[in-house]
Amino acid sequence: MTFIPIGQSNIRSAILIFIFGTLVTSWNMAALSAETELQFDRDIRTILSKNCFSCHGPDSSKRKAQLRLDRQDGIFSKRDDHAIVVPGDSTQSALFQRLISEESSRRMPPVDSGKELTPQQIHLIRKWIDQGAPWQTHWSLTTPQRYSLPTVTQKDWPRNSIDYFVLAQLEKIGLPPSPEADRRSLIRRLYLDLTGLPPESHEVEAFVNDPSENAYGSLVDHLLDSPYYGEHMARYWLDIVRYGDTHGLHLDNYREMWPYRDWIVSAFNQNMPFDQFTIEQLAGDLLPDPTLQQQIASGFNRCNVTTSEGGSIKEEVYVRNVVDRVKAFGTIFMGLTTGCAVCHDHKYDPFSMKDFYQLFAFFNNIDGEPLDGNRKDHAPVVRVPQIEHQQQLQQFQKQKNQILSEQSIRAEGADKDCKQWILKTQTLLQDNSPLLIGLLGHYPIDKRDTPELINLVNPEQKVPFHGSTSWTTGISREAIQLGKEGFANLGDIGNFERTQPFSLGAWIKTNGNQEGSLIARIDHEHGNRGYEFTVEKQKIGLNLIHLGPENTIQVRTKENILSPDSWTHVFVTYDGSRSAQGVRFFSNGQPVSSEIQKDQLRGTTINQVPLTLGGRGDGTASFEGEIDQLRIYGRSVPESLISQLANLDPVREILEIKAEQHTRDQFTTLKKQFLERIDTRYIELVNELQTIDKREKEVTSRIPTTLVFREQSELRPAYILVRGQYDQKGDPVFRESPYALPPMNSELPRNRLGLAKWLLTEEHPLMARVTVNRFWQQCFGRGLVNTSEDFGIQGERPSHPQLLDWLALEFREKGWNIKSLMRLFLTSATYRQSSDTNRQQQNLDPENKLLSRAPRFRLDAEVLRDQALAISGLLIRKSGGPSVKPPQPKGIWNAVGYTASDTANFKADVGDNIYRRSVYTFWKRTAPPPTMNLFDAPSRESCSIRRERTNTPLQALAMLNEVQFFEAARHLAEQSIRNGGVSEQQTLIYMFHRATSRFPNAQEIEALFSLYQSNLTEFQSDSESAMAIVSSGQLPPDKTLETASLASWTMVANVLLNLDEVVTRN
Amino acid sequence: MSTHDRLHLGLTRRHFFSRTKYGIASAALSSLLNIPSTRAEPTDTDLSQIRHFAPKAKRAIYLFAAGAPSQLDLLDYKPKMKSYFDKELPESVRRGQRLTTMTSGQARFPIAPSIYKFKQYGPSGAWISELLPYTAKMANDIAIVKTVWTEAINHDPAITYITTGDQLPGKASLGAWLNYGLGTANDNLPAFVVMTPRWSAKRDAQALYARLWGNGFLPSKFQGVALRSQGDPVLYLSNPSGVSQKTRRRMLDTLNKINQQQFETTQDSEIQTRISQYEMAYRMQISVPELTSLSDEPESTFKLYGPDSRQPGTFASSCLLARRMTERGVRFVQVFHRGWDHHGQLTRDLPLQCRDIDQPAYALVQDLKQRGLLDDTLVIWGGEFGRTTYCQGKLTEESYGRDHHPRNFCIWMAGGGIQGGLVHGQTDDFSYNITDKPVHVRDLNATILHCLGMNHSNLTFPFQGLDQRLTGIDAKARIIHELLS
Repeated sequence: MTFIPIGQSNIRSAILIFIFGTLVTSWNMAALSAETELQFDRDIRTILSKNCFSCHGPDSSKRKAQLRLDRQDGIFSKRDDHAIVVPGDSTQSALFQRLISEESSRRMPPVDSGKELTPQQIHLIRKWIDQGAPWQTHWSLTTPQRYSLPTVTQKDWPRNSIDYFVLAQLEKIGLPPSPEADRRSLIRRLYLDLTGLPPESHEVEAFVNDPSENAYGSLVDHLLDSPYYGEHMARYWLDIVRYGDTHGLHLDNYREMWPYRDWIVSAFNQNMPFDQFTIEQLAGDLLPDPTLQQQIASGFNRCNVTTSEGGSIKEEVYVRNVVDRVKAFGTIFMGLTTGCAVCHDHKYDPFSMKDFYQLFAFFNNIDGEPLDGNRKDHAPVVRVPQIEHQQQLQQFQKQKNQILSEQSIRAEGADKDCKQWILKTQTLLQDNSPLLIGLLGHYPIDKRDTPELINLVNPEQKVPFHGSTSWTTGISREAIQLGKEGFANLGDIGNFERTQPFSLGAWIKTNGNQEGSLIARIDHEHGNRGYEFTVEKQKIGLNLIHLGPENTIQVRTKENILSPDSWTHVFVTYDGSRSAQGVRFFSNGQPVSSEIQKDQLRGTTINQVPLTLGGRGDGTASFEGEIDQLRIYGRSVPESLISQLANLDPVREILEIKAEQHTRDQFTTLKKQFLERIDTRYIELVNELQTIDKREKEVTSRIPTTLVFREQSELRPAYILVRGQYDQKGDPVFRESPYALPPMNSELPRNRLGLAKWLLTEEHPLMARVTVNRFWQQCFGRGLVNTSEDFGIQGERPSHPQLLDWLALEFREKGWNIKSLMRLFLTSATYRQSSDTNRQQQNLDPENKLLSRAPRFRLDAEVLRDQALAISGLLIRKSGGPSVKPPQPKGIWNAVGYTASDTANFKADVGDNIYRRSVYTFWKRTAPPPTMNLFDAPSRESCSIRRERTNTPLQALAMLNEVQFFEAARHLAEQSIRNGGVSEQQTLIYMFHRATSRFPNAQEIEALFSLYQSNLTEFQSDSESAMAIVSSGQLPPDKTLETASLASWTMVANVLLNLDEVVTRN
Repeated sequence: MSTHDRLHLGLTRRHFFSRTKYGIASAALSSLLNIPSTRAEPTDTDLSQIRHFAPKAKRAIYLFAAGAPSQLDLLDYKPKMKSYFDKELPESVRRGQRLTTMTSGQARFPIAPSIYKFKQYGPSGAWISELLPYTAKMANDIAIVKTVWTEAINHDPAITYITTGDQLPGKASLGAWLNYGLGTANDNLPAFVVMTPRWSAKRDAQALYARLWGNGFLPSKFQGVALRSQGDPVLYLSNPSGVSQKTRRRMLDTLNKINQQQFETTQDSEIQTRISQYEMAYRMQISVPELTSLSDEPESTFKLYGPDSRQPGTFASSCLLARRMTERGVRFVQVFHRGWDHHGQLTRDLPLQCRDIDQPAYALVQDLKQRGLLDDTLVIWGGEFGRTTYCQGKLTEESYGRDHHPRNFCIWMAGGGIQGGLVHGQTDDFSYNITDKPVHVRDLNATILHCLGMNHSNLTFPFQGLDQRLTGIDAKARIIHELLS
């Protein structure tokens, strides 16, 4: 190193290294020592990637001098008069020479790049070249190898294979492993790591006193079988997949997705193998005949944030959604940051834009809209009936079957009654029929009338249609379909005075969205004098007008009576009373209730304009739809006749034929009409059936939905998007695996299912490593690869590469068995070490990368809350179902929420729901639950593979003052007074044990008891404060307990729940 | 930045702030080094490492107009538009620019000239609308940038972009970066505080998102702390009912004693950090109410900020609080004022919004100046994009609406590092395209960091294999030197 002057800065660096003692990690320390053989992958690549790859790396668009230092062929390439690297000779290697060049223009990296190598790094490169420049592929892209267990000196320490790998490295630097932790620490550690809940006091003592050899192993097994295990494991996965209960963007409305969350919990509890777990989530919908559960699992692909912001451009949002899915796929299953390649080739990893868009093509075919419509059930979704729904639906089916069988019995026995009805009804068609009394006009509107409209009462009078009309199938023979311009002028008929009773009726069919006059005699030149029978969307109305808009009667039906696109017989009668009360409406022969809007008719309704069908005749209020069998009466037709009219028209044609000449089909038609319209018993059954249908619909609408993935039938083509722009399509691409990874077997289907199976193949270098590393991180506080989200070239290298490979192979070969893997971790001597530390460890292994002790870290947000609830006895251990809302301070949501969002206003749940585990807490992504957020929980807007662990005053405030934490203290105090024993000392010990799983020492007793005493004295003279303290939270305090004492114990419990030992996983 | 700086930065950033031997932040450091933890302005141990030149500003206040105010009616005077009333926006101006789907279906794009009167103020002759009479009075103090632009065309992506450097969620916010880069200057108050005052326009307001002041990939201690106008000003600040400060002190003494014992057994220095964090929490219980109580303010303060400043939760009171925080060493205060999204009825709502902010923003700048704080406090006002010259919805002589316009919008800056009394950039007659000196939102952020003494390309954090930056990983960002004093 002599040729590189060591300047002042280097001395300062050295001092800093000494002071902080953290930078020099074990392997680069090894690398610096003379005898070690340097390895490109371990020692050199990181230096190059940090300093050189941005210009000489995978990104072809930024590459300078056509030189690639990330590949073997580039590093050893020859230029005209020199070579980049000449193995064994750094003096001939441009790579090294350019680093030390005196000429600033030749020196690399260029000054303006802001990059600079340290003297040590330059030295390493030189040494590596001089040692022969051996080259290796980046470690994570090579297939994992099976290493044999290293030999160790301290042979009695290892409990399983893990320990050999760990111990071997510790022995290398002369650091002994820590002794085993005591049983109290161990049981607490196991409970928290496997279930996220602390052990009960009696469980602690049982374990501490368990003499059996396998006490520890049985405890692990017991906890792996606990239903709380799945809830705890799911929590990590929900961070990973960015699960939330809202869409996450803009309105951030509710998204119903919890069945997917429950699927995760149950998959972990059932110990679903991780390969199946992966396949069902990535491609559950593509499995043959996918079960409902498999479809739910495919919701994995729908966890990304979505928007429906006004003004959004669909295609842009569509691309963003797909990009988000691809990124999630890369991060979660491969530990690769694929996102970089959206706009350009990856800067560091061998991952090109083409690779990215080939993966894009797999996720490019969702059968649904990109904009979420702000709906909780943004399609595609499935309904997920819960047990109560299933039971109800089965019950309905049973009832329906019963009714159907009664219907068919009735139908079989109804011939005689039907024939009687036919004969009776046929009399209504005769000349003396009561239906003819007062009839001024009957327009059957049949095609035989064509081209004009005939009034059967006065067949000589024929009127033409105007405008857009066409014939269509009617309720009886044909009907007319009126377009916007279509109408008929019926002439001077029905000029009714306001004292004249009259009736109007017809069959009509609309799309349910029409507004206009069906029949009108309105004089628009004289204040709209006259009357009109109107259609208002799915309602009908009658207006009688002397002078509009005030001097009128205006009535319409209260309910919707027109079903879109089906025939309805509408009828209105007026009794001449000059009052709105005199207007009655009928739908299909049945009276319907009405709503009076105006009732002020003073003056005549007589006018001199013709009656118009399909509008007001002046081009306004035109009616669009179909009309058949129009009738106009100069009297108020009695109710019984109206129903007969409605029943008669549909079978009119057949009834015109003599009964004995009816064919079988004609009789069947008539019988159907008879049963459905006339026969009381049969109608009763129909109504019952409708009631059940309605209830069934109502239950069905309450069945929760969950977002799933489904392919659309036609494959959407995929392209490279230039600079990642949604509207800049480049070359087309097809579904393929990334180039730097093993190719996808040609037998695998080119869809997400094939992609999932490709991940799981033996050759895949990343999937198993990434997965075991994440589980390891969960149990040991940090991953063997610390950057658990990045296994790429910029990520950290594994602390124990051989162990990582060994675990990856073990996991895959033993069937991706998660519980077995967890068991392996937790039964190792490595795991069972004490977390106490000493100076030697702090000097040699300050960050505990080498696992010379058990990690000690602050519990995660959810565990902190769940633990406080569990210790105090408040926890409600109900599993599954919709997310719940424990209390949070006012205004957290509406301080940020879009005013029209359905999650703008927070309303806490009451009762048991607020004491449930945090995995069930409602997660609004633009304003996450504050107690979670303060303790480093991610917002779930993007994938989060590892949480930071910070220690802030705001956390202290929450633990001290947050209403649930404080209620937990109060409740713990109550429990301890009641159950601890008679003496105050027993209360204290009970309380302490519940919180810490151990007994207090003399100093602790002294400190806590003296706190209790001082508080007691004070609260005895300040009963108001004492009362306020015991009244905190939702549950009322135990009235049988003395207030001052309970308040004092509450403050002691508040100490215990805040103890470092309690908030820490030891 | 020299090697040793970078090395030290690596150490301080990675280890200092992560959960290791030396725990978190200066509070822990000060306890280790026996520095008294209450101090007005701490030794800038962190800062010297990350700064490569002397900063002009030590802190910043960002008054954010969420929803996108109309530059055409406030600061970008376009007199020629008068003769274009109800005329079609020429295609030569629009040039196929994409529109939001709220107006892309409109049959016409009729020009809506601003109905407001403009006058020139200050040495630069800045044109300022009659809606901002107070802002006009401080034309000498502010630099108006007329040419900020963005690619995002809808609120959620745009506001996420300008505040976090990316249109998609997941990145660290400007405030979190500043907090990370600058550290705290008052152990008793959070370094980054956010306020979300109410607004006067009565229409639905665009949402805000915790991510706008979130930590993203940075440790969560760097996220903004919301100073609330209802309930506790800081979450969980108050003791539970019945627990006096004396009871709390006693309780903490016991807690500390037992924790200290635990430390002696385990030797985990994190316990020391925890003890000091509980102590800081205790101090915050005193310092925050002292901060938010305005009882020590003289009458003249309320006169300066206007009558609203007595009402908690108004923009005026937020500005006054921002000044009080600045005095106490809070590094970054961000006030998100909503209600600026005027697609329709602009002439009804914009004056209400301007009335909310005009006098208080002016007062803040003057107040800082009087107190000698303006020189090292950067003040910024602006939204996430601009609004269209053409009308959305019904256009009359008196009433119009404007759609989103990302191609140019106005902001102003004042104070530390900024040269007052200038106007930067020029747009065409339609305020539709930039004709001179474009300032991308990345450039704006790079300039803000610069004023605070940080080089945006060096302020990085490793995440997902990349050195993440506020200004993006590989996009170019420019410092706008013309704005600097």
